[in-house]
Amino acid sequence: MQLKPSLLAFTLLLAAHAQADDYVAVHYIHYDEGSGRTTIQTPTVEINKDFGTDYTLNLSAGRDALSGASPTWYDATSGASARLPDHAVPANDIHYGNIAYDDNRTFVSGALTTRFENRDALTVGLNYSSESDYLSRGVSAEYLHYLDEGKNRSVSVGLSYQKNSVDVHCFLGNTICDAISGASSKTITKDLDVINAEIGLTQILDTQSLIKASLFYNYESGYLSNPYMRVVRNKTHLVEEAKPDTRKGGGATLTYSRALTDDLSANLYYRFYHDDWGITSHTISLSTFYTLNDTLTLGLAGRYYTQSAAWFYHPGKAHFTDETYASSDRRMGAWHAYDVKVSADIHVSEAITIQSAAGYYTQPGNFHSRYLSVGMKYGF
Amino acid sequence: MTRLLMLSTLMFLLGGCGMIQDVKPWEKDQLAKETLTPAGSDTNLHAFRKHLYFSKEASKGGGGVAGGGCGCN
Amino acid sequence: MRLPILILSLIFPVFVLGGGLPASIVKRLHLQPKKVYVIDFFASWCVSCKKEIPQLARLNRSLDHHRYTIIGIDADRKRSDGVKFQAALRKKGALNFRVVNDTGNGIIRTFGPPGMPALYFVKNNAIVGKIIGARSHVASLVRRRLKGL
Repeated sequence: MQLKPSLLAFTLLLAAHAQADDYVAVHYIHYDEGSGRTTIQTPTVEINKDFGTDYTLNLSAGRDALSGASPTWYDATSGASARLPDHAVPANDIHYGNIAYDDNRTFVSGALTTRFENRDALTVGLNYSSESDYLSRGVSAEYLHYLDEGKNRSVSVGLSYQKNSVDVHCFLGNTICDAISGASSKTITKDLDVINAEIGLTQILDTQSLIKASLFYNYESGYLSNPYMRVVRNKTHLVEEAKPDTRKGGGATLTYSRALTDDLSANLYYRFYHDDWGITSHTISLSTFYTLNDTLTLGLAGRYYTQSAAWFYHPGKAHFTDETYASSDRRMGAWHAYDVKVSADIHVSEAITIQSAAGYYTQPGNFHSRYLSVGMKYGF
Repeated sequence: MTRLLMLSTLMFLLGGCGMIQDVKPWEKDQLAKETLTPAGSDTNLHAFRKHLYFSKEASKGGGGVAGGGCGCN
Repeated sequence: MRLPILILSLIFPVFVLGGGLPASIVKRLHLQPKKVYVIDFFASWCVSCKKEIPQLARLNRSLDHHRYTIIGIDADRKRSDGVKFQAALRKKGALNFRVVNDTGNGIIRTFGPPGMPALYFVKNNAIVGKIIGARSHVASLVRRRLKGL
């Protein structure tokens, strides 16, 4: 079930894969939100293989097992259900709370990088993700061009297209089903197309540092509402949310990476984002790595995010009347978030690295979550 | 937005004027390290965190093109 | 037209093909004027270099060593990184030629390749050819070049 705002697959441009040693990696991630309210278990496998000096193939696959609850408005007299009542509900019976769901998501992706004699590189990627009521297929391409002979400056241009299908189950009572006779047992499939373009410039500053700047643009068109999210209109009518059916957004990023010493590295990242839904956000993150010895590499990362609200968002149940667009989806609200992560890579041998990490992500006032990751990377 | 874009560009151009050194191909040992990327060596966890942000936040994009990195190969 | 070449030759003595190598380099690499040398610059952190070395090792097995010699120059600035890297390759039989550890980067600076990996052909103590950047079939490319020398 797709109540989860969580897990709509959305893989933007695949990053061009830098040439690396061949490896196979397996990981397991456990995510826990609200002290057990929502849990996700994700095993993944990834293979990276160079073919000579000119080709790199990267394949990955995984499966999310989700169970939990997501908050929205519901009619308390009929229990915590996403099903819409076909009548007015007394205001006191409309509650904001968690609706339970569980689902599985399967995802696979592949990318092939081809390098040319001048070492320019073309990466072409495909990705696929499926859950019970959401299907996503994407294609992406990125071209990397070096601007100088010493390869100290490069420009990358990327483009991706994603075609998604959203299933709306008519038993939920969504008005989108009203035109269909005997609709309650049917499912309507809605399309959502996403285009993303990005251009980036990388410049090596000195033997210890480099900087990357990029501009990006997103265009989404289709069914952008969540079929399980509700709003209250005229204080007593519980109906599905209505988001606009297009969204244009974009922004800029800047990343500064520096090897502070032989053993200590830091990466500072900033992103500015703005879209025509009125959402403006700022993201700043710092990730540092410390190589203690040949066996152990430690990591510490922090991230701060803040966003303004969409113009059609309101969290209250006495606000909306007959507006064309209305949403109480709290992802559309104004808030900020923090994320902290610690990690340890243990190099067991020349070929084997054990990777472990723990993180804490919180949106104060909304929720907090923890995640743990363990995995093994085998180089060959 | 325009102001920030201009600021980013300006910072980059200022870098071009004063901070950029001509790094030779054999001087890129530090730049070639995995730890000189925000993801480090655990690209899987990095992808998971990006997915977490995507699903819980309203902003999208900006994590795409990787660029040439150290240009060591 | 000759002026830029002259200036380049002054700044980068061996950048221009045909430039003689400094005596210090000839001595350090034990070069003999009658032989043709393939000089391969690599480093442990250069992934393409790592892909090319086994190909050169295979080529080395079939070379007439009275006429041709492959010399590796490891540009790692930390000697232990280079030594560890070479040992791992030798263990797999992927490295079978002499390697000079250029930790001070004096040798590579003298050649001044614009990219890595970098292969130079040296005859009569002078550079007579080069291949800069990764090549998927580097061994056959080197073999072809050697035939013309």
